[in-house]
Amino acid sequence: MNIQDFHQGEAGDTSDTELMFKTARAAVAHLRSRTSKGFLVEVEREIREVERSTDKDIILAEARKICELNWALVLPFFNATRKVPASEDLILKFSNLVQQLAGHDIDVAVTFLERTPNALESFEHHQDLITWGRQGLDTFHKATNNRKIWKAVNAYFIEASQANCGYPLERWSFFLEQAIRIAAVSVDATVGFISHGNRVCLLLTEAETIRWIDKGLENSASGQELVNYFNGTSLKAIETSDCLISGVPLRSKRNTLAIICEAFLGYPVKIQSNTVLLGCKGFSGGAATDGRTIFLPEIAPNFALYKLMALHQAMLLQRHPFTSLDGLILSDPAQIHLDADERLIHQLPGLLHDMNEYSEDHHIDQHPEKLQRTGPVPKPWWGDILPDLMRETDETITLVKEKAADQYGDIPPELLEGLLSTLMAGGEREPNALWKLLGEMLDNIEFPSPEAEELQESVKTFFYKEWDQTTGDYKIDWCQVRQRIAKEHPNDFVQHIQERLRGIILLIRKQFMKLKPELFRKYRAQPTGDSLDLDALVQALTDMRSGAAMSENVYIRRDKRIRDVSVFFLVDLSGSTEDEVNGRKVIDIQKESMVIMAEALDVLGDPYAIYGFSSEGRFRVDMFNVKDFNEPYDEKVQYRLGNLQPLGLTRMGTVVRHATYKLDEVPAAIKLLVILTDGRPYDMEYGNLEYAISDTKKAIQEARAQNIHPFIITSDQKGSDYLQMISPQTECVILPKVELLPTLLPALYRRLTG
Amino acid sequence: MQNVQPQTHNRQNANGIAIEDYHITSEPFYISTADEISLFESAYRLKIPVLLKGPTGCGKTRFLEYMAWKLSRPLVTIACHEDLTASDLVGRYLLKDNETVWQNGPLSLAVKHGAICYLDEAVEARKDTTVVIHPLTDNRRILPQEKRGLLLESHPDFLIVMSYNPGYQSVMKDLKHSTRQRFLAIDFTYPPSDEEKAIIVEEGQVDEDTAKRLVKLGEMVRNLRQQGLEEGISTRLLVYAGRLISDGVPPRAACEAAVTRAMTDDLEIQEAIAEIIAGIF
Repeated sequence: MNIQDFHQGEAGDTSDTELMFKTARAAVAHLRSRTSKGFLVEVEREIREVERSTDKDIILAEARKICELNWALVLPFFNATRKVPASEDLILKFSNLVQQLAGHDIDVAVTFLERTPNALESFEHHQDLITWGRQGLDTFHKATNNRKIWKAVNAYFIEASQANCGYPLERWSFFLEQAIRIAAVSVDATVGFISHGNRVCLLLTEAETIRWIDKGLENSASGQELVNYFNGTSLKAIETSDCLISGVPLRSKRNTLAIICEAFLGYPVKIQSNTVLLGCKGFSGGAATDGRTIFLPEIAPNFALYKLMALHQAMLLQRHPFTSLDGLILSDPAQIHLDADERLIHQLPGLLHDMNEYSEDHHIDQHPEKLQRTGPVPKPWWGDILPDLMRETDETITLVKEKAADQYGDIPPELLEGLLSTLMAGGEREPNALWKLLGEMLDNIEFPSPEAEELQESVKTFFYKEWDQTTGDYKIDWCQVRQRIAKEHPNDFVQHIQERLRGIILLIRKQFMKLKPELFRKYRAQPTGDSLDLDALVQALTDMRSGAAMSENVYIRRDKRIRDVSVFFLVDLSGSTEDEVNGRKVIDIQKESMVIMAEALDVLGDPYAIYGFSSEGRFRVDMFNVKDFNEPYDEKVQYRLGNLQPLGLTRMGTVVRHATYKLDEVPAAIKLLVILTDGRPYDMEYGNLEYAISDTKKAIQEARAQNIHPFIITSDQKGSDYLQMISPQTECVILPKVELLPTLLPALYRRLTG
Repeated sequence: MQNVQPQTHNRQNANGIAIEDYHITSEPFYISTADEISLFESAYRLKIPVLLKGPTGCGKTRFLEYMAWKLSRPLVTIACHEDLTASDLVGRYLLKDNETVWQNGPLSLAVKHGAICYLDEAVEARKDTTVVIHPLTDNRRILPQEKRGLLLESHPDFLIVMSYNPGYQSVMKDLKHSTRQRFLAIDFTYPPSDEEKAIIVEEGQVDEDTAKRLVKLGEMVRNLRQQGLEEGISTRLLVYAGRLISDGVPPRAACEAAVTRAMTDDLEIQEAIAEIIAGIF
């Protein structure tokens, strides 16, 4: 069908409409007929829609102008203007913006149009729509190079139009200014900054944010580092932000506050950021509780205030429903707060000093009964009382629990309560959505991790929990460890090493031989002991009879000297071990160290196990058995060691937990867990760096609680940052040169256990 | 304040008091929390061995001292450890004045003289050592001294008592049932707050208000079971804190030394406990 025949128009069409059709047709004349046909059908539909609106003249006129710029803008434009409120001024200004934006970059203009409906829903005032667009446009004007900045402006339009973006528009203007600076160095970093990274600066003032950006630009050594920094995913980004904050961020004190509240209440309680309460009736930004979880602001001027806030909320939790010391039911919030403070001082009199210091006006009297009770100025740590929220939480939890009792009858109610409290604390309050989330958790639905695979029977599986630092709780049975045996086909790796390093191996064997104690030593001629040493006794008596001095050392002492050390070696098989250092792959260096270690331990006799680890998401955490505790160091083990290859990723927390489990079965007095790794913990669905580090840290703590001594040896030069967070300084070693590992490992072992 | 250590006025020669003669002559301070006193008295009359179970520092040893005083029996205490051998308990030959002389170990002495023999933390000793007491815990009540080729029959007043902390024993170091089931057990735990307050007042030599605050501190720290402090803080540590305070150490510093640093090395928990102490004092 000929395009010219299409849309001849209908009787009664105004000239505007006809003109529109003509323009549209012209705009797509260069396209394939099918595409253009589709387009024109849509355009006709839109035009018929518009004809019913009062502003149709304006809209059609503007649409024509826009169509002449680029046909891709037309449909989005129609779609957007449908939602723009009927006000001539607004539509004109809007269209103007669109045209100017199109002049810089068509894609950005399209995004602008596509996001307009969202933006209209999110913004309070319609004028904001124009401000939003204007800021993006201004960025183009200020930037010297459009090609570098368009992606960022694109991202800005998407982010700033979200309902919960959390920033006023002016803040975005500031971000865009900064984006121009970053774009001069890296376009990807800029996009990252606009999309995610700005959240790291949530608690910073503008001046502090500028310094944060400065540091990022100065200190990033590579393009990738830049991107990670401004993305907000690198540790440095978070640390730099923390250093710049004036005041105490919640995340640095959350655990301590949770411990204090647990000690006070007698049961664990979760502490969350209060930003999830935005929009709740009665919430004004302070501390609050929903009856189960304590919500605190993300930043406070100092820790003492945080402590007061947390304990005050804990007291409210305890006292809900609220009755005073005399037994009357309180309903005036000020009364409730005062009452809570009274009780707090009663139990913890030491808080009086802090309360006095942070009360702006009057001081709290030493005698609690004399507290003023008439309309006091709210104290900074009081926060908000949200009775509706508390009631709603109660009701929702009861409702969902009842439902769950039918379908998930075998789950204990306390566990359900805990799960629901956590979900609600995360922001989800609607019963049906909660029910669905709960179902997903309890049914173990797959998430981005690759699915659990069908396994052979010889593979044993274990489930382990994982620590989620955003909720402050464990995810039970979250990870699946697959215990496999490393490949056993014969190879000469170990043999090769034994030949090549024969000298070193001999030396080390000699050294370790000296460490080995003899099992039951009989010490003769001792001053004390279990039985008499007849030989020494006869000698002593003879000496006496002949006039010489008689020795007193006439006993035999049997000392059971046992060396009771067991050690579990974890070897990182992540893909990065494929990298070469001075011509040798990291994996080979690691394997070589294990060979030497095995030779040394063969002499010493300490029971040991060697496992390689690698993961691919939480359902595929593999532990490769090279040698188990009771296996001898024979050919099979040597073949397995030789066959170890770089594989996947590093889900360190889970791996440590499995090692802990295996070490638990070993009856040794001293248990060591030695981890050889080359980088930071990282896996699919293992959160960001903070998450991975805090899970690993928790796992290490759990190991120590089981009397296991963990020890990390890494070749990652940048390891000191995260290693310090994972375990205290004495328990890690960063190898200046990874080639040193084979000689260093036995020396370390001697030092640890000698 | 009075000296609260159990007083003994025993025969002392130049080398110290003979083990079997260690009597407690003045009443040790002990507050009963249940029926443990009468139960122990029954066990004594019937000569049934007693196992005192409970966490560290909650009064097991003090209770036994009290009972030894009440029943007027000497108390022989043996602190058990990994290197304890059967000879250490039963006895050995020594060389004395050119002759080989048999010297009785503390267990033999208790058996001979009818003392109460107290094996403190019995689980710490190796199992091949602990079985030495088996013949004493059944009807026979005899102690073989194999090296001498003799059998000791126990004095009618002899009683054997063991203490045991069930909290943190691993599979390897636990009481065998062949040993456990020869004893009747009395459970000890931290005293309830009023009693604990009285104990801290008396032993810590502090006033009631300070004692009350220390009890509150104990209560709050014991709530941290899930944070890895399963053992809970012992009354003994609270008493130490009290003593430091009565000696003039500022309360927060006293608790820091006696509680925070003694209980944990974890920085976050230490910080939290320090804040709790600041809230109490």
